Amino acid sequence: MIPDAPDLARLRADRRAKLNGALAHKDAAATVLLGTTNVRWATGARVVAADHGRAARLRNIAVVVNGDAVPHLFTHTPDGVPSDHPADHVHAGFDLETDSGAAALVAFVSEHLEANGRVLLDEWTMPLRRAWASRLLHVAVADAAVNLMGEVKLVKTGDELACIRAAQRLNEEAMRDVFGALHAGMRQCDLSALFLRRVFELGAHQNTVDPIWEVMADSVASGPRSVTGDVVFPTVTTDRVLSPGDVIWVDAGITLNGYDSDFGRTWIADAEPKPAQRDQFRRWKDIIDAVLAIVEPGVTGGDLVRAAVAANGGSHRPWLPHLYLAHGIGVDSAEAPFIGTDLGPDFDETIVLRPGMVFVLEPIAWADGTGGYRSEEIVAVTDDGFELLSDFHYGPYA
Amino acid sequence: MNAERRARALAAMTDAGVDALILGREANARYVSGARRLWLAGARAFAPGCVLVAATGAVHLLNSSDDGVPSDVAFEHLYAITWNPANLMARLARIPELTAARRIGVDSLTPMMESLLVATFPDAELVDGQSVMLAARQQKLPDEIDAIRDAVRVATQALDATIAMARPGVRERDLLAHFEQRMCELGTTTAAFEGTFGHAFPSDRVLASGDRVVLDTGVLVNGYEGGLARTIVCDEPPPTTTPADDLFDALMAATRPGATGADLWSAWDASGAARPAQPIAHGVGLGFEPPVVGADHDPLVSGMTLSLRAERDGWIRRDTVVVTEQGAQRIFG
Repeated sequence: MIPDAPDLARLRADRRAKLNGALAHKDAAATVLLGTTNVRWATGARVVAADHGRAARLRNIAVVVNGDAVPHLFTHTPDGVPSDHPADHVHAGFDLETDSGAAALVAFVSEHLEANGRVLLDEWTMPLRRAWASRLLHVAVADAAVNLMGEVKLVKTGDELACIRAAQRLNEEAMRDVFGALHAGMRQCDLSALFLRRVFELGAHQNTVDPIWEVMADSVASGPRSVTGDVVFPTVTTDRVLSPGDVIWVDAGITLNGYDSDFGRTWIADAEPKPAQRDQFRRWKDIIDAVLAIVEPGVTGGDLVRAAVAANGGSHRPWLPHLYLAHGIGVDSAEAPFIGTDLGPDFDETIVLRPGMVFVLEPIAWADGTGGYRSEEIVAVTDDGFELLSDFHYGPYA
Repeated sequence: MNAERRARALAAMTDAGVDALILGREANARYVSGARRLWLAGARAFAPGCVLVAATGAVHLLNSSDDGVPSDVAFEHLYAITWNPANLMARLARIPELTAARRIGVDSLTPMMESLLVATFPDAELVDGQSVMLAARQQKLPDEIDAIRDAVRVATQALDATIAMARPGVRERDLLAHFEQRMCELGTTTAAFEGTFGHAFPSDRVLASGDRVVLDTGVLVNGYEGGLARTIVCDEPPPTTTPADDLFDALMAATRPGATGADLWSAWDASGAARPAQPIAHGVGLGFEPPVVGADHDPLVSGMTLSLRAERDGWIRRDTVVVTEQGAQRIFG
């Protein structure tokens, strides 16, 4: 089901067809996409990775008109446009932080819109909201993230799964070097230095999150003050020096061909795990194994939650209360489905696994005095079960 | 610095008649809260990550712990991330000044968030909070200029180290890899953008002796951006002067209070250099900021910090300056 290597042209064509099918099904006249990852999904075009402010100013924009299979792409980065994107659907970028840029986009939409058609939009800049109100006030706007993109992203094609697996393998290869170099006396930022060097040498298209190397507190009470009363994760990387025996929760992600990786492991600096720490790992592994044992099409998010809780002794949910047991992954490092969130048990029951869905399992085992254990596994649902897209050892715990 | 920044934001709110701001953009949240949160690449859709209320000056912040949060943000004002919009709106509704607000500024929106906020705060009008924040952020405090200088220093040192290894046989992507490594070793793990090393998307192309290579980089130190661009020739010592230098000096001379984009373009055109595709100047501070010469038309004011970019015959140079009453001054790392 998952090809060895993705066929990127086929991948883009499949996504375009799916997006247009969804627009027709929803009787929407068009979708206007501003979000970095939504535009990436719709067009396959690359932009330079940047912080939020710069990325907003230099963003790609996609306008997909119902019945036209090819998205109109507005870009400041022509080098990032796929070679198979028709030239008559590639346009100079607009700066939607300005009234003139916003007005230009609204004019384009206005010219390409059937009268009174409904438009699905993922995000407003304030100038765009003004420009829309002055010219397209009669056009109904619904949320594209909720009504469109969440749905079309949910079930992946084989090419998409191959992309995620390739990104994850690159990420893991870099992490093998970081794991081998880890020593007390290094700073957290030294681990980032090695990791970022390796991912770019290996051909990553971008780094996607400031890599996390959280040195876990000995107890919840001795750690950062927590809003939820639970263990705090993540904390941001600094020049903190690692000490022997530090338990480090690692979390990092890169992007390759538009798809994200998500690496999560627990390491210890210059020490073998103590018995109580090995117990934490075994409990985490029991939870993972119990969940994986039931993964197949038709199983619900609620089933996964129950399996994880049962493997954890039946009472406590083994993850942070404001996060989740599992999240999806694709062009976003965390996307639907979200399983075990504060959306509640009824919502979890609505998540029914289908072949092509992919999620990152990230339960947590915690006991004060051990530093806990947290790792992540990427699970793709297949016709008769699952396939792991992550493949990294559990050293130094096993 | 945190208190001074917040005071500027509150003053801008008063000027705009805004009772509260709900901010989704990280630079805005950082400006009013001083909090360091997780860096993620790209522009994300609006979510209410930070609230500033005019009546009390209080900051409320989406952060599940006090890690990275300055002590002048009350712990009781922190709120954890939630996936349930009802829970999120209920948490916002517990901020009394927000419930009482008549004009709430937002820095962006999504259609879903707009309907949720309208339902939660039915008596309030949602107005443009981004222009309020940009007005507050426009003129830099001395501490902010120091912060930019710190960032320029990291970018400069990391780029110098990268130039030193730009020898024949090295791939473009190795230059990016080396720059990112040095940036982290200098204590900064967050890029303002992943740099240009030969190409905007550094490739597998192997450098050969005599190749001219453009290097354009930026880092974020404590949220503030420092960056620079240089052009080198592979296998030759870094040039002491380049064809872009005179143009850069001309741009700098034109950069003074009251000058507009047209004045900068006049200086450019007088040099005879072809106009480039990229902006020749844009604001820098907590990342990329207005004005963007090419898109914005307001005159420059003293206290702005700008990235100036000169390009002639394929030679590119970019540096950061502060606009003063005496003219533009370079911010050296």
